[in-house]
Amino acid sequence: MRQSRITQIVLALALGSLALEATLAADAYSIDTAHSAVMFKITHLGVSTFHGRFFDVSGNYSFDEANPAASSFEATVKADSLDTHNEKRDQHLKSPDFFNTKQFPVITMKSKSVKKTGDKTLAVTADLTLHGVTKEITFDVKQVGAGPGPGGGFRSGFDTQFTIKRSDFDIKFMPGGLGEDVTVTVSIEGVRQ
Amino acid sequence: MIAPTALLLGLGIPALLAAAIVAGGQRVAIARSGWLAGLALALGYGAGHAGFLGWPAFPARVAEQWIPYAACGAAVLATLATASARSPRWLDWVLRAVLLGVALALWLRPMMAYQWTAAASAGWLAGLLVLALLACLGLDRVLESLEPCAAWTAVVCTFGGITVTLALSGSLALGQIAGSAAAAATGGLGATLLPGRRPFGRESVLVLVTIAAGLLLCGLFYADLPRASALLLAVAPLAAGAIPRAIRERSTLGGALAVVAVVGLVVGAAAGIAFASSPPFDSAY
Repeated sequence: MRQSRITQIVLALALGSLALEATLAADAYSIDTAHSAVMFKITHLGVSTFHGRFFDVSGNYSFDEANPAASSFEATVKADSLDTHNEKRDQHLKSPDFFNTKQFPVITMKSKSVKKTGDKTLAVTADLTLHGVTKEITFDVKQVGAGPGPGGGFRSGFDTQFTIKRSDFDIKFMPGGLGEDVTVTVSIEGVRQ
Repeated sequence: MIAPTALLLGLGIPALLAAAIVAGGQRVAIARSGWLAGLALALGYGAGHAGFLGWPAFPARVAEQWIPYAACGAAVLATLATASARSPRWLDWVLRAVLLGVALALWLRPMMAYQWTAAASAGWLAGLLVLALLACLGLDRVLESLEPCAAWTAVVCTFGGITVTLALSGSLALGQIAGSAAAAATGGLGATLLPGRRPFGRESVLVLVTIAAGLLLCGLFYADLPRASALLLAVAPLAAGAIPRAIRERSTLGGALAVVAVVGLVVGAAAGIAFASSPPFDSAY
């Protein structure tokens, strides 16, 4: 009887430690909006490049350093947080001519697969939903670093850059004035939960 | 910068198409030709919308893409109303309410999905439907009381004002398609200068209200069209009713010029408010 009780306790401890290990293996992070950004650049009149930024990025990701394929992320960008440092241009970019932020208030990205490609690099395939259109895209992600934050929490950060064609997302206005290719740079910092 | 081809497709074709419908259609519909104005506006606007932005897929993905479909639906109702001349007047109003109600729901679907509660959605839909039907009622009386040339002039001024005001309110694309409506109306106006009477009939009012309502609501809710500008543009063609009958009926040219002065004043105020509300224009952007 007593031996049975001991066996139960040992089993419970073993299961508990397995669960704890699983939790530690794929750390869950919450995106820190204050230290994350989504930027884009596009050619203007074919003579120059101008840049814009979305300031409101939120979401979650889990990162498993030992088994990157088990990692995943989901990010949401408020389209209305767009800023190009020009009030009139921002008004136009938010209008139905481009991002149409009232009809499509959020831009989302959700991972479908993650593969390790190097020491600190990953290849990610994700669904990007922009302007109400969802397309699968693949891009490389670089882990910038990881370590303790000022409040005691643990943080990690990632950068990526990829190019999309705006017409793929039904943003076609002013084809002569603005380029077709949009280069997107994403910098994410997450706080471990 | 708009390419010359886009200008031809978005403005030239609508004007020519509308003029051809109003001028040519009258030969086959002498008895009751008032519905031709609606048909000309709807098809002209649709052609211009397709010329500038492409013909939208069905079902439409964004609110403004429903406007050409709603305009064509209104033109079909105008034609049916003419074909069944003995149908009761209440049935006409029911059909108007159904078409405008469906169109409003389609235009405002993003607002209902992201911004409004169910109660607020119901309130907005009901309120805007009442306003649209009141606009129909007012325009029935005003446009039928005007000479065809003056009636078309009021429509041209209204859509011209909507074009300028929307372009000042952050969306050049909405301004462009409003320009297509103005071009179609200009074509209709041109056709009235030909011999023969080509009235802007009561049957066509629904098409006018549908296109104008779609443009104004998309500007109001999805671009930065000020509410005061939207309201002024909505009542602009009704202002033609304030012109004394003696002036309206003095001559074709005199009536048209009086309409330009009165309706132009209202749409000018709407454009002025939009200009004042807009962020400072920076030519470098």
